Order: sequence, then C-alpha cells, then structure tokens
Amino acid sequence: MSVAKKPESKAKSKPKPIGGVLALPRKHKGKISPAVIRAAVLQAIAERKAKG
Amino acid sequence: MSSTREPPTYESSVFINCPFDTDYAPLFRAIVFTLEFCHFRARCSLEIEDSGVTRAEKLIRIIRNSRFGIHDISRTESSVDGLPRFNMPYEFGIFIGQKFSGIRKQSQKSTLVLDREKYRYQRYFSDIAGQDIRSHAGHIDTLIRELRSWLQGQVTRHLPGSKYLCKQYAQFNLDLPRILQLARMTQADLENYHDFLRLIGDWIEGDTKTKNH
Repeated sequence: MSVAKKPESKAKSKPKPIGGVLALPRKHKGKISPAVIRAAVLQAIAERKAKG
Repeated sequence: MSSTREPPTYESSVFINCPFDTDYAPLFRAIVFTLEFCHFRARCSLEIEDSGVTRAEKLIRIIRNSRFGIHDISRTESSVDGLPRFNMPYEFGIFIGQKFSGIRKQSQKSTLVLDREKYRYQRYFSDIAGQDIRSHAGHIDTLIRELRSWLQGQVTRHLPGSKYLCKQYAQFNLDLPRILQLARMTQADLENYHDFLRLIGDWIEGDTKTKNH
C-alpha cells in the first residue's frame, strides 16, 4: 500500500516560536538601508573594474 | 542579491577592545577589515546601543561569545580633562576573567595585546606580562602584519598574506569615497558600526566575486 506524501505544512516556513516569542529576522541596526550600501559598493567596484 | 556573510560564532568572534575616537579610527578600521577579510567576525562594544544595566550585560555577553580578543593599549593616557580612560582596562579584565572562569570553553580564549612600543606596558600595566604583546608603532601596515601573523597562529586554515591584505585594504580605501558618494553617505556615517561593518562585508564579498568571474 502506498502512502500518499503528506503535503508540506505551511507552518514549517514560519518562524519557530522560542520561549513563546516569535524569532523574527534580525533587524539591521544601522542608519542606512543595507540595500543602498550594497548597491553603492557593487557599483563602485564595477566602475573601477570597468576602468581597468 | 543578499549578503552571504555567516553570523558570528564563538570560534569566529574576535572582540576588539580599543579607543573609539577619530585619531584611532584608521587603525580600528584596519583591524575590522583584516578580521572580516580573514573570515573572522569583528565584535566590539559599538554593537551596543543601550545604556545602563542592559549595556553592561550585552558587553559581557559579547565578550563571553568571543573566543579571541584584541586589546590595543597604545593610547593608555589621561583624557583632556585629566581623567584616565577606564573602559579598556575594564573590558580587558572581563575578557581575562572569563578566560580563567573555570569554564572549559572560555579557557580556550586567546588574547593579542597591541601597543606602540613592545615593552612600554611594563611601565604602567605590568600585570599583563605573559600575554602575546606586539607593537604596531601606529602604522597600519605593521598593525595588519602583526594581526595577521597572530591570527594565523590561532587557526589551521591558511590566511591571506599580510602584503595582500594591505593591498586589499588600500584598495578598499580608494573605493570608499565613491561608495560614500553613491550611497549619499559621509565619513561621519561610518561611525555607525553596523553600517560600517556591512559596508566592509559587502566590499569584500563584491570584490572577491568579481575577481572570480
């Protein structure tokens, strides 16, 4: 008898509660958006490499 | 594209105990860069934003969670108002106290003491005799070389050579003005440790990736 695969529970992808408190993703504590910093860094590197 | 830097662990964390002022900033930045480039995680009290009891607890937690410690005593002197700086000896004491706390994991702690001259500490801090004390003479390249040499003695994996690290750090400093311009940031914004750490991490990752392509 084949057993039908149980569908992935939606709860699996949710943050697991630790001591009754949800473990939320770590917030960036800086003042500037991480995405802005990253984009600036990558562009500056790309510009330098393009110049050779 | 999100950053792939791994979160700090006990084995990768290096607690930096140094002055956090404008004069020392170039040396501090070189320490952070070298550590991050060598896949260690730079930790220090600047991570903490709270004051009072919470701050003290967080500081002890960072020290407890760091296997390695770098203590730069090159600026042991009175402040402008004639009062001595106590934060650094305090943090150094906590680090050494943890090492000898009797907890096995903590006993693995390893310390590097940096000063301007090799034996200057004997005149004002003789109790630290027996620690690994090295001098950087205030020079960034010497600091990177001494730090890299000490780090290599702590791990079995091969670390980049000091000349290469110096070259990479110089390149990072050349790129920095353009990065700040693009991000609409100023040098003053780098005083935020979290932003500075992220910027260094992104630069190392970005530069390495473009080299490999």
